[in-house]
Amino acid sequence: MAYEGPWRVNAPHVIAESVDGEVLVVNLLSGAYYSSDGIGDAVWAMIARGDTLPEMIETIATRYGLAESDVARDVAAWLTQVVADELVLEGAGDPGIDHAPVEFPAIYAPPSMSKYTDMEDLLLLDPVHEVDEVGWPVAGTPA
Amino acid sequence: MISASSTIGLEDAGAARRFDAFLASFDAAAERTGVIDRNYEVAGFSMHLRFAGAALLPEVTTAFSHLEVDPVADPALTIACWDSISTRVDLLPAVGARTDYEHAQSENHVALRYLSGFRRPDFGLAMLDREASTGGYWVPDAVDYPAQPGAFYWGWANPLRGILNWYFAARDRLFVHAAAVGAHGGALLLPAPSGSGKTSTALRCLVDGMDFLGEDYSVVSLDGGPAVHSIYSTAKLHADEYDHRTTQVRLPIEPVRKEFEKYIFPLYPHFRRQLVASRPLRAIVVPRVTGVDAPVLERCESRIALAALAPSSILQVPGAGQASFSKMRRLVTGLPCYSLQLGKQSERVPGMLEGLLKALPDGGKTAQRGDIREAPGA
Repeated sequence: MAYEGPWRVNAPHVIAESVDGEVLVVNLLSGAYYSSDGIGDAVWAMIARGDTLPEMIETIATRYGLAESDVARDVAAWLTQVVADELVLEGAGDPGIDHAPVEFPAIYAPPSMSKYTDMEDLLLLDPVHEVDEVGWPVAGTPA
Repeated sequence: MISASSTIGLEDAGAARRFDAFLASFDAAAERTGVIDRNYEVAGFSMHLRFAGAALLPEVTTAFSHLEVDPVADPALTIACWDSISTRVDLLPAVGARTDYEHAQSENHVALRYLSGFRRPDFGLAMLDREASTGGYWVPDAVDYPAQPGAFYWGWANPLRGILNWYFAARDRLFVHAAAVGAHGGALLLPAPSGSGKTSTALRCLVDGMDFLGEDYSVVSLDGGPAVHSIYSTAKLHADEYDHRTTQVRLPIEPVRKEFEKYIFPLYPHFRRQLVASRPLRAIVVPRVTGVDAPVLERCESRIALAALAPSSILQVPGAGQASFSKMRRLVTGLPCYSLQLGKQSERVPGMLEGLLKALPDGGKTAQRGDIREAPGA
């Protein structure tokens, strides 16, 4: 991947919370939401604090005693998805924002992100893409 | 007259003008029809509703019937409610066009004073001045909605959802997509997306005699110990299933509206003794429909509860964002969480949930009882 970071979370359109080693991410624009697996929670936290791709690879490879090439392949695949879905954007985030600590699981598993779209219909009820310049409906004629 | 006057910054002068024109439209309508006042206490806050004429009264007030109180001198929140067809008064031109409002949704509105929301289901416009705690809810026609089959039960079942969420968001209140039932002085929150058995579980508990706080939406407060507050006393059941008697629960009351995809049942006054306003929150139970014979209630990780609670709550409530998400995380990590596999013997569910509440009198720190399983690692 040509761009090697940093990235920033696409706030305020994308919101996230971590619990039990999993990050849950909601895209308020699309209505899709995501849950992480493997070391996805840790990688999300590294993204949020502004790590570059080489920094993430070195950190993960060192922690788990893995070849950097293997880690690079796994993380790049994960990044491709979160960038494509606009969960993160290129460029550094606001340095004044507090970030969740990076917590690694005991055993390495490649980061992954499951995507759920069952609630997109909730947003599609809104007519943001079907707007006519019609103004408000007109009231009845006053008696 | 409801006034929105106070210091207005240059950056929000346009919003202020639109808001003032919105409420001036109500005043013009009320001048023709007279004003009908109703007062409620919702999640610990006094709410004063003012109606221009009676046309919108049943739609908005049916769901709040169990929370009606006597008038108070200085209500915390005042909302004007009206329509144009029955009052024969259009919105003033200064309110703007519909297109001015259609793009606002689900953003982080924390810093804004004036909030507005427009959603297609009822073609209604809601506005709130958070500083003055005054708002308005307007629909073109209180009786004949535009042809959007299936969507309009929301107005009857869950009125003023956007305004109340905006108001509560700054006041330690979370508007959540979750049912809530209670017993033994405590309550359980049942978060789940639509179709997960949330409504049928809550209504079965109601019919079985348990306390009831909501079948679809509830309000949660965190400070001073988590508590759940009732907001709506309506129930929705799919019309087809109800007519063909395939719903899991039958209510001993008739629907108040039958022209929608879902029938609207007013639970007040029939169940008034069980419609409680607030209860300490003891645990979170995530229901899901499964094919097992007997229902299974077992501990689960907080992440399961967060996944059931947060996306559907945040995506359904205009204006909810990161702050609400963080509060939901705080909620699920501070309470014991359970998964409930709804089996074919669903009549056993109320007893299981009542038993769980009996076993958790101190907020969930005690051991489980009977048929509650401890999940590995929970």
